[in-house]
Amino acid sequence: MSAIPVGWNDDIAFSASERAYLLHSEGRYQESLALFEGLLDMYPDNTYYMDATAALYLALGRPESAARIATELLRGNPSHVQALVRRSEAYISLRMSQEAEADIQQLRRLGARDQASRMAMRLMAFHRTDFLP
Amino acid sequence: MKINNVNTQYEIPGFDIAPQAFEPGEEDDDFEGAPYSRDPGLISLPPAGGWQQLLGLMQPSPTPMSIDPPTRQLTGRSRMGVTASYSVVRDKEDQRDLQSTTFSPRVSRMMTILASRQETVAKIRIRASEGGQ
Repeated sequence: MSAIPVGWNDDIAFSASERAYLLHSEGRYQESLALFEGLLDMYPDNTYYMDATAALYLALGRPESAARIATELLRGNPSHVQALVRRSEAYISLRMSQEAEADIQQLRRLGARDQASRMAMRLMAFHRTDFLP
Repeated sequence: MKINNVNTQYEIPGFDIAPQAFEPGEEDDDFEGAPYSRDPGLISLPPAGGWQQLLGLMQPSPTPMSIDPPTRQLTGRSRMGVTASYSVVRDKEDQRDLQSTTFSPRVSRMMTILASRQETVAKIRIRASEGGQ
């Protein structure tokens, strides 16, 4: 756990999270990631910060980092649907089809049919482009 | 004697719906007098974001890169005992304090971004108050 600034409290953490979310919705992913990473250093077990950080790694084209943090999140929360979606997306980007398929199966087992179908289509589209000349 | 069918003929004043006799050669004529020949004339289109918004059809479907907005329940939960109010950076002395404290690089970066944001907001407020006088 990192040292924290004097006077830091949950209200400030919430304001910082709101700012990070706004930056994300404006497409300013680098700045948003900087805020979420800082928050994650201060709250290492916070699932929201882990999940948001994984999403931003994906948005910034860093699938390895996204897969790593999603795996970390799933270790403590095996039924975290969004983490499975993000990790399967990362695996697809990394051309790790078998791992992506396993996450999609897990989504189906958890009853997240919409997310599973969407990711299955992404995987199928990846296979199709992969075999194109 | 039992009557199974009853035929009723309605007459609407000024509205003739009786089938017209077909006369060859006249099919290309204008149909101005024909029933339903005029444009029904919609007064206005339904307002944008009406029922579609109500049914959630206008919401973009979530992608692996999208995140949910933060809530107080989701943020800042794992750190306890820090309750004092905190202002990110207010003056030069605070800034020195911030620099001398050893945070992780990611926390430092977050604090810099938050401080710069707060500084911008403060400048805008000062300018607005000067303009209002």
